[in-house]
Amino acid sequence: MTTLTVRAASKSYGAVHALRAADLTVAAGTLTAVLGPSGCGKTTLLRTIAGFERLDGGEIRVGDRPVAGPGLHVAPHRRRVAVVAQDGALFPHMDVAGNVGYGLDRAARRDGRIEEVLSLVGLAGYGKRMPHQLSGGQQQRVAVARALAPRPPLILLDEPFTALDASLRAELRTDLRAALRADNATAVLVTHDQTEALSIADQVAVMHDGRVRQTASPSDLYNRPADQWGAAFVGDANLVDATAHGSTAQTRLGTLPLSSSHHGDVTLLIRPEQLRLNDADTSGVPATVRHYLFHGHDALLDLQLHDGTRVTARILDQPTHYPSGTHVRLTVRGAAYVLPRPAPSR
Amino acid sequence: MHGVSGGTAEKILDHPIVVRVAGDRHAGFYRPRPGSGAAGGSTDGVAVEAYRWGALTAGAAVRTASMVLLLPFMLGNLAVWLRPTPTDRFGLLGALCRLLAGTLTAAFVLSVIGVTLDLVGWQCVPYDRCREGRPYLSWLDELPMGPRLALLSLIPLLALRLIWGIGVRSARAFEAFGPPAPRPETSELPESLNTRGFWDDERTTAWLRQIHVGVGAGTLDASLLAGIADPEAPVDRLLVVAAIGLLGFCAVLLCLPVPATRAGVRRLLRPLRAATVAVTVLALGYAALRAGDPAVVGQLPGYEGTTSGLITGQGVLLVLLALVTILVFFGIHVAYPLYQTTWLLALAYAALFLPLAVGAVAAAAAQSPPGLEEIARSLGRGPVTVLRTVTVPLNLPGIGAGAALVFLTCMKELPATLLLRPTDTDTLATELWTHTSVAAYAAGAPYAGLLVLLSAGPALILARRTLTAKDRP
Repeated sequence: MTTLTVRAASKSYGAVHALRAADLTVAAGTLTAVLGPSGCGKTTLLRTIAGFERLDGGEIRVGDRPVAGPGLHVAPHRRRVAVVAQDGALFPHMDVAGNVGYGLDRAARRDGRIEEVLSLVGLAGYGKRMPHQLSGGQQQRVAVARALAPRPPLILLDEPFTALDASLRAELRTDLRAALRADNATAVLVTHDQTEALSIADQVAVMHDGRVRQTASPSDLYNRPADQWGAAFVGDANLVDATAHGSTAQTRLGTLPLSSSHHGDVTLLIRPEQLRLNDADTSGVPATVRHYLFHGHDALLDLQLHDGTRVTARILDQPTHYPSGTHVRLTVRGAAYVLPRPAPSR
Repeated sequence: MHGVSGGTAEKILDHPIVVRVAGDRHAGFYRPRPGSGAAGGSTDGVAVEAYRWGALTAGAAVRTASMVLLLPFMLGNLAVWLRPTPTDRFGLLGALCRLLAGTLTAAFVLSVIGVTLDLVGWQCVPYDRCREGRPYLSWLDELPMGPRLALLSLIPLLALRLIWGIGVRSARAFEAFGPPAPRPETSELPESLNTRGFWDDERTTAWLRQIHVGVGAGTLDASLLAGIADPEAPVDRLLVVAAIGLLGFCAVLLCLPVPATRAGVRRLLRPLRAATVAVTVLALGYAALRAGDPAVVGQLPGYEGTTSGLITGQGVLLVLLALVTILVFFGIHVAYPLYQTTWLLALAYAALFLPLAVGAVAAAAAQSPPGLEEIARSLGRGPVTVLRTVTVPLNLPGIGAGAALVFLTCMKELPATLLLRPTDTDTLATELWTHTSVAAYAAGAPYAGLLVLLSAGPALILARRTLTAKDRP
């Protein structure tokens, strides 16, 4: 069952086109991440879904009910779409229970819904605290509980982890996903953090320049990006020109197997972790290390082939340090993905 | 037939034999002598009569010059007469008009100083090229700057003496119409222009004349000292302070109502006269004895700034007069049912202090986290509920602070209250003003104390709120 449908949504602020015919479909009970760089229009998309902004064109449906479209704009409080803001935005003059119960009617408050959702987010017993007595992470948990409490058909999360430190962010991410699942809530998470989007979302929509470029599961998005921009934006990518001959292609990195059969000139996506480094006296394509970037759990190497082509390799299981200027040989693991050709411009 | 002319009554009436039927030689009504024929151009059944001011200076050029010279004073008089007297019970508009007139005297003296001290003494005489075509100025070059400016200062003083003489002469001419009407020794003016004795106000003219002489002399002294004084020398600084003090004393006297008795006038004018003479003699004497030439650059030091400041001050006074008059005009002609009621006063307070309240509330609103109302609406609450449960509670400190500020300001507000309050209504501020304006400080003390006490409450609440807010993270 579909909970949210956005079709050809467009919105401009003067000469700036924030949304250009954006499409998005969210299934009930799932978490969809809208991922994109700053200024791509993702927050505008969220605000039009919430009803804070009017659409210039297109249509938005929540469940079967149209809430925005030509000549139609349902007020935010009639849409039943709860929003979790970037900074939590708790009401400072109300305690935690008051905040969580704000969207509830009296009956629901008496039924213990407040304590129920506070337990879901791990804050049982915090009802009497005031917002200024909570840490940043706790405030975000209260904000999520407040959005969950009235059981809205859709919850919109506007970069809710941005203001938190890295360790707290990971912990809260996991707890948020668990709470949403436990309450069978449908949610849209707006973020510019790839790790966040890929790790907790059931579906990721990549936005660029006011358009949704691709909507797919996290693994499909990473392994089968829709275009070169998507391939480069989600994760690190080596985009290599090649000539395809059926199931293989001739490249600067040697003859590589393809994920699907093609013929002629193509562009291949080879992720850095597909490249394997070998000693200089073994087989493979010769390359020289230009930079070695150690990240703890892995390391990234900037390499230069003999013809000047630059590639990036990620090494996980080789704790060896590669100083600049080291000569190595490269081999490619697995099949290379053939990027779809861009649609001819009209 | 009325008019001003340098001609005789015979010429005005175009008849060889005329008689004065009323008035005296200064001003009177004239008719053709009965039995000597009709006046030229007259028709039957019409009595031809001329009203003639005597001993007027004739000549278009002189008349025009007089008009230009007297125009500012005419405007000052007009402002006084057009002011809404019935509502100006405390003389606020009168004080503004008198201050404006004072600035006109200062402008008159400054204009003469501009020609004599600045153009001639400062900008021309020290330069050979300027003196080349003007041999009559060469003797001034032999004098050092101090004595030269002191000598040239006699011309503005003479101009001031001329104006003073005209003022004295006018007052005497009024008296020539007949014996002065018995006039009560009170500061209250009769309301109507044709009230007997209305124009016989020697006490007022003498009072204002002496103050204006003080203003003119103070302006001259300050300008002269600005040209020669050394800012580092204590004597120079003392003299400049004395000249500015003389001007300040004159400004204070202009703001006060005319003393009710001749003795009161004399009591205040005596020290003013002494101060005027003393400061002027000292300034001119000090300049005359000063040797050595200061560095001559540009205009007379301070002249440009004084002129600009004076014009700015006149502009501010005129704007104030216009604003107050407009407010009263609105009260009389547009909102007459509200006029002199508490409602018009409340309206005036609202117009005056709304920005104060809006500023306080806006500051509080700016401090509250953004987007809270949107979040509240996304949780299913309508605009009215959001206003009641989120917006108003969050802005309550600002609303309280705005209310306290407006309350405090309204309590001590004076000009609008004096002009617009109902006749039988007094506020603490007006009571305080009533008593202090007649130097009854002891009588005004309870109202001042009450004002302080009432102000302390809101101030304490505001201070506590501020401290509480600081405790929060």
